[in-house]
This record gives sequence, C-alpha cells and structure tokens, in this order.
Amino acid sequence: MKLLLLAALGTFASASLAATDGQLVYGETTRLDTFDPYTVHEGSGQRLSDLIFDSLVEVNPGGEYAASLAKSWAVENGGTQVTFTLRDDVVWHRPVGAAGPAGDQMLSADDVVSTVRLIQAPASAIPNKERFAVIKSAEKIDPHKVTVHLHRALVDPLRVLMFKILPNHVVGAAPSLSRDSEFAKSPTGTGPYQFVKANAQGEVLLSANARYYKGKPAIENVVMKAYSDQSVMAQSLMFNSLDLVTYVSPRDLGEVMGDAKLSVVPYDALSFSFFGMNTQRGALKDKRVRQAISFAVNRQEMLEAFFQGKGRLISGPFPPTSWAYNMDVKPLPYDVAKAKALLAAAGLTDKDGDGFVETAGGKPLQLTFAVPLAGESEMIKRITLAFQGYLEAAGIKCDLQFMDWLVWKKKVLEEHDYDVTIASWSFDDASNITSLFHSSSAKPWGNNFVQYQNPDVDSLLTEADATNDFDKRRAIYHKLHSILADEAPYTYLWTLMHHAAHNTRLTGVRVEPFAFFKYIVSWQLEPHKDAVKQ
Amino acid sequence: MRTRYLILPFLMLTACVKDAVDERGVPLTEFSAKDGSYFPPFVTKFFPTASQYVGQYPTLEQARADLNLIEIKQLNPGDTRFNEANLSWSADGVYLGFEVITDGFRKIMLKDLAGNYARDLQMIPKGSDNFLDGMVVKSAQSYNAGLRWSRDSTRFAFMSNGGIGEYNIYVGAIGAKEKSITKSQTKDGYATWSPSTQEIAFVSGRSGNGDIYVVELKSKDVTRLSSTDAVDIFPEWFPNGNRLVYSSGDALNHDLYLVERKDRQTKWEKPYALTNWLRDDLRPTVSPDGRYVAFYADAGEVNGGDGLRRWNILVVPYEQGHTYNEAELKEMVVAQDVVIDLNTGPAWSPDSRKLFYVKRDPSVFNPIYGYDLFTGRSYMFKTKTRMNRDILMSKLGILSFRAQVGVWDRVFVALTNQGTQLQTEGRLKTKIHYLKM
Repeated sequence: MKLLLLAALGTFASASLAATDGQLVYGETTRLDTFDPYTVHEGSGQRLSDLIFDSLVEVNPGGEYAASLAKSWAVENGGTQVTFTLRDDVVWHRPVGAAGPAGDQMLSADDVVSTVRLIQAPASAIPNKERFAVIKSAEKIDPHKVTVHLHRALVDPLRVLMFKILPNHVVGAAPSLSRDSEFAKSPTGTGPYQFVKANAQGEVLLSANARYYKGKPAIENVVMKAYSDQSVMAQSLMFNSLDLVTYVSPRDLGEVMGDAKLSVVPYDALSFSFFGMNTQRGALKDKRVRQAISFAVNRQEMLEAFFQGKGRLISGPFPPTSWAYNMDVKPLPYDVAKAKALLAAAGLTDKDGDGFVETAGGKPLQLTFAVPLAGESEMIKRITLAFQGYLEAAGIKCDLQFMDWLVWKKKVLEEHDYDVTIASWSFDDASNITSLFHSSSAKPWGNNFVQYQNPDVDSLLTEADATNDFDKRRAIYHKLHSILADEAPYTYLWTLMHHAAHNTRLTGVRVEPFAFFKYIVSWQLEPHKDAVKQ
Repeated sequence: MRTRYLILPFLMLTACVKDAVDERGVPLTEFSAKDGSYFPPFVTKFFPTASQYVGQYPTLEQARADLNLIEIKQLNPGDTRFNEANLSWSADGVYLGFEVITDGFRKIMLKDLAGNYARDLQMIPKGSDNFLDGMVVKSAQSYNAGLRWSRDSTRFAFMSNGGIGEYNIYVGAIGAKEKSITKSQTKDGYATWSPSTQEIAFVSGRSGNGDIYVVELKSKDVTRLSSTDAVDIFPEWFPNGNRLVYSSGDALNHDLYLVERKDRQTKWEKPYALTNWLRDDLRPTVSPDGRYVAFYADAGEVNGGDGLRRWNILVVPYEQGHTYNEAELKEMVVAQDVVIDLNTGPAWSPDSRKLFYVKRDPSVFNPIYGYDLFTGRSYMFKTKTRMNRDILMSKLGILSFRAQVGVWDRVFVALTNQGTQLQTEGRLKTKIHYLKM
C-alpha cells in the first residue's frame, strides 16, 4: 500500500507525507471530493477555500468590514446596491507548471459578474443556496468597478456580499457550478495558497502564492490530510506527524490539553442544538407540556458528561455571542418537581400509579422521538438516551425511533410526523430566525418544522425583517427571544465550543470561526528541534 | 442468555488449590475448575449468582457448554458525576484498572474484585513549575491513561504527562511506587508489556512522527523497531514475545505491519506488511494463542449512503512472511458495521475462539456481540446495558465494558463461562494472584 501511495503522489510524494520544515500539515476529519468554495458542503472544504480564494470584503477582529479584493466600496440606493472598486494588483494563480508572467490573469470586474451569475444559476449545486437569494445581479461598470444589485434594501448589505470570487477566465463559459467540473477538481483562486494536487487518499497539497496581494505567506507549503478516525488524527498530532488539527473531539481534548508541546485554540461552533417539539401534535399543543419537558431535562449534566462542559447553555434560538441573544432571559433550571406541576396543570397526572402520566381520559402520554442517524451518531444516541431517561423521571414515556438521515428529513421536515426530534441550527452573523418560527414556514420542507404558529411572533418577525434600523431590529429580536423561551417550541440546549490544536512550533496562530485560516499569512512554522534518530 | 456452540469433546477434571507466593512474595493460588467449582472464591463472592450457576450446572461439562452470561454488575455503584472508561484486566484476571475522566483530565483507578485493594494512579509533580500552573489545579494537570498489565499480573505500565505536560511511560507494581521508564519531550504512549515481562513496547514521537520502540526494563535501553515517515501506532505483542503487530500509515490508509526477531538474543528484523490494501486497518489484537490477528478495517464508503465510514472486523491467521492482499482480506470479514473501540481492538476470549465487539445497532443502543471463529456464528449478548464500548474479557471469563447509565459512562463486569479455567483444554489450571479474602 505504501508504495502505491507514494507512486500515486507523483512529484510531491516525498514532501507530502510528513510534517517537515517549511511545510504545514494539518488534519481534517472529512475527505474532500470537490475544492470549489460553493459546491463543497463540508466544513473542511470551507476551510480549504479560505486558503485558495478571497472575497471582496472581509470582517476584521473588531467586527468592522475591511478591504480585501475590493479596495473600497459604496452602499447606494438606500442599501439596494453596492459598488466595489477592485484592487488592480491581484493576480490569479498560475496553472501548475506554468512559467513566467506571460498570460497572467488579473482580477477584474468580469470575475465578480461571473461569480454572481454562477451562484445564482439554478443548476449550480450549491448547498444552502438561499443565502444568496437576496442578490439580484452584478453589473460591470469598468474593468475594476462593479455594482452588485440586491432584491431589497438591506441595512447591512456587505454581510451578504462576502462570497468568494471565482475566475472568469476559467469558469466564465460554464453554465453552472458542479462538483464534477474540472474547476472543482483543480481550482484556481487568488488566495494565499495555490492548489497543486490532490491524491486518492484525500491529501491536498497547496503552495504559497508568491504574488499574493497581502504578501507571500511565510509557510511555503500546506498539506491537508483527511482522517476517518478522529482519535487517530489527534494521536498523529501528538506524535508529531501533523502540525495542526482543525477539530479535537471532546474525548481527545483532555489528552491534547495535557501536552505542553501543543496549544489548544477554542473557537465558537456558531450553532446551537435543541429538542424540537411538534407544536401541532396532541399534548404538545399545550405550552405547559413543552415547558415541562424543558424543565425535566438536565442540560448542564448532559453538557458536562458528553462535551466535558465545553459549551454554554442557551435560553433561546441564538448563540450567546450573537447580537440577537437576550442575556436577560436565563436558561431554565433542571427542576423535575416543576415539570410535574406543569404537567398536572395541563391535566396530565399519574392516575394508575405506574409512574407515568395519563390524560384526563386515562390515556398514557407517550411521545415519539424521531432520531436522525448518520454514521455512528454516537453523540445523538447518547443525548436521546439521556432525554428518554429524564422524561421517564418526570412521568413521560418516550419512544425513540431511529431513522437514517434521508428518512428523518422526509418524516420530520416534509411530513411533520413526529412529536420530538433533535437538531442544530448553524448561523451566520445575520441570526435571522424568520424561517424557523414564522407560520408561513410551517409547511412541508419549511424550516418551521415544529409548526409553531403565533400571530404576535409573525408580526415581530416581519417587522424585524423590514426595518433598516439595527437597534430596532435588535430590540425586536430580544423580545422574540423572550417570547420563544416562554413558548418553548424548542427545548434549547447549548452552543458548543470547538477546539483546534497545533504544535507550538507553529506560531502566530489565530483562528476565526467563520474563516479558520484567515490569518495564515502571518503564521510561522519553526524548524523541528526535537527529532532524534535512534 | 444461552447460545449453543461447539462443545469440546474431551475434558480433564482436576482439583488443585494450594497457597503459594510468587517471586515477589505476592500470594499465589492455583485454581482448577472441577465439578461443582468453576470460579475462584473471590469471583463467587463478587458475583453471587455464580453459586446458583454451579447448582444449575453441576458438572464441568455442563458448565462449560454454551455461552452463558451468568451475572452483570456495575463495577462501581453510586451516583458519581464522572465518566469511567477503558477497563484493563491483569493477566490472571484478579486486578483491574480503569480510567476516570474529570474535567477533561484522567486518572487511573486500580482495584481487585476481592475488594482488598484500591488506589489511584495520578502522577502529580512536586514543585510549582508546571505548564498549567495558574490555569488549572494541580490534580487536573495530570493525565494518566492506557494501563496495561504485565504477564505476571502484579506490575503495570501506563502513560502519564506527569502533571508537567510531557507524556512518558511509567511502570508500577502492586504495593510499589510508580516511576517513569522513558524520557522524551514528545509523546510516548501505547505501552504494552512483552510476554517475557522484561520489555515494554511503546509508540514515540521522538523521531519526528510515531514509531514503535521497545524499552528493556533492566537496562532501560531503547530500540527503535520502525522507521517510516508514516505514523506507526497500536503495537501488540504476540505471545512468544518475539513478534509485534501494529498499524502503520497515514490519513485514510493504515495497514498492519509485523516486526519480528528470532529470539531475545537476536536483533529485530525489518518490519513487513501483514495487510496491504487501500483501507484503514486499525487497533490490531492478537489472539491469546498467537494464531490470529483481529482488527478494525473501514468498509469503504459504498455502504453508508451518508458519506460516512462504516467499520468491519477482520481476522487474519498469522503466517510468517505472508502479506494479505485486497482479495484475501475481503474474505476475512467476521463482523460488519461495528462500533470501534478507541483504545483497544476487538476483544478475544481466553480460548482464542471468540471475539467480542459492539454492533452499530441503534435500535438496541449498540449491543455487545460475540463471534465464534470455529462455527462462524455470531450472537448478541442481552446485557440490558446501552451505549456499550471498551469490550474486554479477562482470563477468568469476566467480560468488561463501559455503558451509559443516565448520562455518565460506567464500567460493567459480566461473569461468563468463557474463562480459561473452564474452556481451555489442557490448560485447566490457572494461576491467579489475589490477596487473602
């Protein structure tokens, strides 16, 4: 096998298999089959695209917009369009093996126009494509000036315009983006690293872009390796075979943190998890029953047992780091007595002494829990098993129904045929929850699969979407947070901290949750000091 | 539960219990099963149902038939707020150790089933020059894991960061203080005792990536056995003490390798591949008789449908110099879609006939299965525990595993009739160490 691998690697074989001086080798837990920034849906692909591609603007550590491929911009027409002036010194990566500057392609407005066309093409296979729905078109003003038009006015239009720019000279003729295209297999970008090669084992080799507009990165090569076993990946870091891993599982975190030669870097997972309750089914129509479930679940205990406490409990549908999160709304405590009292108030008491509650008519309350499975799904199984135990302690029977991911989507998202389920939402900085709780989304395949319907909430969501006044929108969202905590369509669980880890010979490391490798240009890799040959 | 399987045709019935001490003065008892007596007294005391089993099966021949799960117990009852994991049995099945996970750091707890012995293993340095000082309390700076026992059952090795952030191999003994036997700024781990008890194999990153090393305990001489650019990990000895198997590779492709020597007086030879295909072969375990190697191998990405990998268990016979290729390996699958244990590979029964593992079956929350290599049959253990993992069987036939109780992982022990004293023809006598009850 090893010989085959070496042969397959071809010219970069000897450099790609080990963490060597001048080469950063990092580990991911998913193998990539596509490398363009849009058709890729894996987190590892998004991180890789940070290395290869740039966007027009970016957000600096203070949360302010900063120039990137665009050196300036102007928000126009009350927020319905933005005109960007592009840098004139940005060069697209040369094809591997190409020599000299002849034929170099410079960044131009055509690249932005093509990118906008492709991300809007109906046939483009882009996950979460709806995030680009507000973009109407791009118009070339001159070779270095382009205007992006929006369907409606936004108070913060740059937020939706931080997409990666694709090369018109490569993809300009393509009708759409696909995972199987030549570009997706061998991408061309403007970023700090240039794609060189990928092999059958999921290793990807990148080389520093000597003409990067921010300056050539200090680290000459970057290699991404994919692992099928997170624990083996963590051990590879600890045994010096990797310089960096982008994710350390909670199980491995203690061991990694206990190694003085490694540094652990926490970053926000930018998502939250919840038990979703079908608000149009049986006893769950009564918010007291939903509240009782929330009181019955010891979320802090689960956070400690399953995630070693590396996260925060939440009280509403936002990560606590979001501007939308209302800090005045506290997470519900674990209180079984309160849960039982709420059930009793809803007419659910244990009438036959079997330890479980029944309705006034004597019918046992039994909930069906739709449990989505993908792969081993150990954590999902652990959490749902604990949930079942908590509910039993409060007198509620819960039938766990395991189903593959595709079956779960049909059952829950399309048919709404379930009582309780578990899921997570990931957010960008918009924190827009309209599709999650507006009654218009309580339809097959709508995001409001808990079928929550409340005219007051609908009005507030509509009002928040309509306003360009950020302070007003924040105030509305804080009010929504309060209402949705009390109404309990979800049992809000937690938002987790993820952890990257790296060898201490890698210095200057700073990561951003939205752009992991954003600062890689300033990372340094010191030579190996401790290798001994015995 | 009862599951029929091949009954061995010939049986020696012997009775022999005599007190003795080993070379270090540790009490030694030789126990032999006989009609009406199948388990040493400390086992019967810990598992009360064992006496009923004797009553139910009055002859040795009856007692050893089938695969019987006699009694399951949670090793440490009580409402504690920490996870337990990775139980490890001493070679004679008397002592055990398991890891306790608190605040992300680990200590090892040692005890015996007789209830005479209990202590913690947690290396905490003296002084105040620790790398996490000021950030976490001293006890939480210490990470200790990977306990492995010597063949003589009273000594053990484990990995600890010593509370100073430097992972090395430590050895200790019942009644003796632990000391480090390796010294490297980069990690040393995965210690495993040679059957001769004179050497310990381990993995070290001192060469720039993970390689297999052996340290001679008396001289502390260290010998490097592998020297690839790949990560070499999960070493396991064969019972002759002159052969090791380990996983070697990178990213998505690890193969199994063997490294051998003729005897302890000769040098280790160049490693060679035991398996060679484009799959991940991880965590090999060697059957107690040394004839087979079991391991996890990824099943490829074709059967998941969700892009996530599935894992199988394969068993290959050891044949000197032979490398198994893809066509051969595809015929060696004994269990499909299993949950992999992260620290050890598939668990062997003491008689080398059966493997124990966890199936990825959510409807029963990851049940424990057994597979009989002689009959080709697999069967599920109805343990009533859920989210099982870290499966291991002791020489006396006690199956250990962790399972979820409430939200916390707890270690369980289950008495079976699969112990050496009951099952292994010609090896009915089994020497065990235990303190006086």
